[in-house]
Amino acid sequence: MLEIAKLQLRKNRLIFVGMALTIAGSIPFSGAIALINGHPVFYGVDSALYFWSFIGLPFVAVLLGSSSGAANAADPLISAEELLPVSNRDAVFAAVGASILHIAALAGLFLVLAFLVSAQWRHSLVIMVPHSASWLKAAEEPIVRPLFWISVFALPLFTAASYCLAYWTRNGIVGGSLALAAVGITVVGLAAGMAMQMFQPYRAPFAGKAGLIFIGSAAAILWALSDSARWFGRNENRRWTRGLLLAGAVAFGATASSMALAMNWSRVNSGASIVDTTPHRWYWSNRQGHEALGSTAARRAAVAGVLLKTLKGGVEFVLPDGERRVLVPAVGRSLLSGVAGDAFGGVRSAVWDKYGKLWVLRAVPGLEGRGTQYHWWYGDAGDTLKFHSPAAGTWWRPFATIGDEVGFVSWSSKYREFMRVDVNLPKLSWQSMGSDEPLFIRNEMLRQRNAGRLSKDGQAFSAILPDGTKQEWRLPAPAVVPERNEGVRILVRALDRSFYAISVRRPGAVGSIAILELDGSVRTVWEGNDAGWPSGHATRRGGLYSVVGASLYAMTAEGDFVSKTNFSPTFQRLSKSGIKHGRAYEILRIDSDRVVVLLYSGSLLTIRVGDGKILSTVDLPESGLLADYFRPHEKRSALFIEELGWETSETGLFWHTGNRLHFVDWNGTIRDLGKA
Amino acid sequence: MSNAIEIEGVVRRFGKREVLRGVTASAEKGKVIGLIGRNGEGKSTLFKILLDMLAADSGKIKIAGLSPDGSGKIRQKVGYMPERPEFHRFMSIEEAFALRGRFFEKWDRRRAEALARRLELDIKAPVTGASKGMLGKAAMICALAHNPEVLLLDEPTSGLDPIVRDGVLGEVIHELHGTGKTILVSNHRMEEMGALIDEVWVLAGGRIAAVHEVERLRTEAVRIVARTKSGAYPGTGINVVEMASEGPITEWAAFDVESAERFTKAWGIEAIERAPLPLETTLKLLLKDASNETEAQNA
Repeated sequence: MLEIAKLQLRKNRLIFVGMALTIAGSIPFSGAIALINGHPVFYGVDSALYFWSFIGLPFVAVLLGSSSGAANAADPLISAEELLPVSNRDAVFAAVGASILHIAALAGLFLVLAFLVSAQWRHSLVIMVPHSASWLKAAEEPIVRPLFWISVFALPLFTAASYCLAYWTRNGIVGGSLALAAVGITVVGLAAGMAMQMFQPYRAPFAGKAGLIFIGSAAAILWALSDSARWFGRNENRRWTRGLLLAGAVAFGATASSMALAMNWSRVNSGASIVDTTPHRWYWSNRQGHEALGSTAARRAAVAGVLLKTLKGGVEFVLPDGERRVLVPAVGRSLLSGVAGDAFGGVRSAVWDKYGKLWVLRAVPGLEGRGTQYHWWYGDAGDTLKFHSPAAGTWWRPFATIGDEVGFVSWSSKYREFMRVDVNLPKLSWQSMGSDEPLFIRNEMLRQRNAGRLSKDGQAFSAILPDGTKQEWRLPAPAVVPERNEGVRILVRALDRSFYAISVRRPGAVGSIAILELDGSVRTVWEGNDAGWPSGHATRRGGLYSVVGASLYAMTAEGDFVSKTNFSPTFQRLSKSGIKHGRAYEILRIDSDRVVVLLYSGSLLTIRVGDGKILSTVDLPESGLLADYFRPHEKRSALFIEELGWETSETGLFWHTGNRLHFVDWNGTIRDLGKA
Repeated sequence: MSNAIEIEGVVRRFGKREVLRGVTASAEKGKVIGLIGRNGEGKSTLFKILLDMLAADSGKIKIAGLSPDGSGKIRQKVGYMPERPEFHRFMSIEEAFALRGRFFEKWDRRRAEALARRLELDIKAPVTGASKGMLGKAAMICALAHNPEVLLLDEPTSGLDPIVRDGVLGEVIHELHGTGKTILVSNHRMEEMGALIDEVWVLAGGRIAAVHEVERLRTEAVRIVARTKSGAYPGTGINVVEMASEGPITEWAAFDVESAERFTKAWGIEAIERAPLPLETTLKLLLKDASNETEAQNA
């Protein structure tokens, strides 16, 4: 076998030497061309190196394999070598081995040259460098590098597959092209899977699959070579099914990597995760926290548990004790849709309405040969929702709310329209919402009812109360009026009370918040708050807060105003205790004496209001979702749908790690609620 | 005496065309067998199957004690001279010999060199540009230099001029004769080898249609000129073939004494002349006879 390999090396010598000279010569040549055209030398050199990295080397591998395979299948060479007392299998493997040795030597030569001559190439493909803010630059590590290194390790596969196919077809061009396609698809599939894994390691682990597919692909090609050596070498008469089997073996890598990639893509896009029921996310990016709060009934229903979409397209309502209620049953799926269809199916949007009932919009891919269908489900979280109707058209939009109304928003450059959905409406229709942005927002606020208006001088406020009576208030200082909403204010609703809140400030003095109670009384809170309130954020229960500097101004869901709390000493204490925080956090719950804070580093803190003393710390289970969310900017899942990693309920926090759901009550007790 | 070559029911198809339809034959050790058959009858196919270079669809083969199994081991024990010898064109003849020397366990470099000298072959010459005669000589040396037990010679003199033919055949094969090596040779000019061949296999219709001892053919085959009456019939089972006919006078060939006797005694046939038949003509007639029989069977 060694002798036949030596013979093969000798036969390939010309092409090997030619390619080595071409690779080595292309580098100074491309540099010189760049220089002649007035560009820096490295422009040309780097271009040549990237060409060889991603296109050139695979092509050379294919060239070596296919030329050798086609030549060894040609009659003169058959006659010259078939007389030798060597089995066809040994001859074929020796020939392929020699070609692989040649491509390995060429690749080695190229890698050494590239490493030595180009810092750019070195940094982008070999050495780990700090991330850049540039997305393209950032794509090097998760996308370009796997592609490059998988291609490099796949060079023997390119060579072996092209030898095999050229040997079958007795045609180097046909065999080489087929092999390039088969192994090329394998490589791109594996590289894409590795990139996906880098973005979503918790949901799309791929390294194991990639390893198995690579090994399987190599084994399949070796088997195909071995079998075809017997078949074609001795010209055996065989059934066509045997040919299909061989073709299948060569195509195994491409098929398996494509399927694995599609399955991971499907898992990434349709995987089990917490359903985001925030209705305004896409439409009202500038809407203040309390304006996004649903009705009291909606909030009470929402905080009873968490909505979880399942891998099979259903929706479950999970309670803190772990009980799971199936609200929307799983979608019946074909085998194929299980691989690729999920990317286009599953729960698209959900929202709680003013009655505390749930709307779910679900996409159902390709049933009975039709395109994707959108179905609405509606009902109470205590029972399975009812299939309401198929949504019109094939497009979809997330649910939006305006006031207490649930619907969809449509907009063009000129018009904005709202379509209310209601089980009692005989027909759905679009209603115009005005033609420019400020008017649209104002109209929206007015439609939320109980909207009031500041007087022109900003000294007074009037509104129609929920009982229909008109009320006027005299403000303790002139209102601070942003231009956009033209002095319109809407009712702040807490679970048990409602009021208007307006930022006021005397000229030359610090600001405060005027609270206008529905009985006509006025009082001011939070002297020194110049930033305006309510603004910023709302907890799911209905607590409202804004953070100015390191100071928290918060109100409980019951309407109690909490003392201003300074977080600076809190963070100092955390640092001293060795707890990572990065000053990144979210307020989950506000009570009159304490606030619960989620540190994005993965801890749950309970902090006493006022002095910010840490009352308790809970380390949350490690979360892939959190890790993904807080990975460096350029490595986040920009390509994929971001998912909710947590959701609060009345009694604690639902914590999704990417593949399991946990419940952490406000006392810090953690319960594992199983796979999710 | 054990057989060096045993072939039993070998079938080989190419697409829908069945070239070998159940070849069965055997050759004793030390015999020189001439394989005759018309073009396309499958002589080269049979050689390649015997050499384990082509797979039979069915049937059993044993050659030099080995059966073809795809391993190529048979070729260690069998020498083969193809009809169109090929060598790597980037080599010299000497390099081609050296290459074989690395593969064949019993390759005898001295013997190869001695044969080359004897055949006046310049082994330093490159393969590219070598004449047909040079390649033929080189191929013969390659077939012999590893001292094979069995030699398969497929049209060894094809395309060679008479001087080279003499060199290849007269010198080498003659020397081999009687050394215990079994030789299976196909040649359209079998008369060139008439003195060397022990046995003739007639390949027709995908089968070995007949096997004849050459010595018997040489001594017993006769040409009979006869006057035949209308309706005369030579009789069944008589090994004769009609060569020519002119009115009532016909010319026949009988391949053995018994057939000649029975033919001349048949009703309505009156032998006028009886003369020995040259081996060359006999072989041609055997081939013709086998082909006619095949056609008749196929019809």
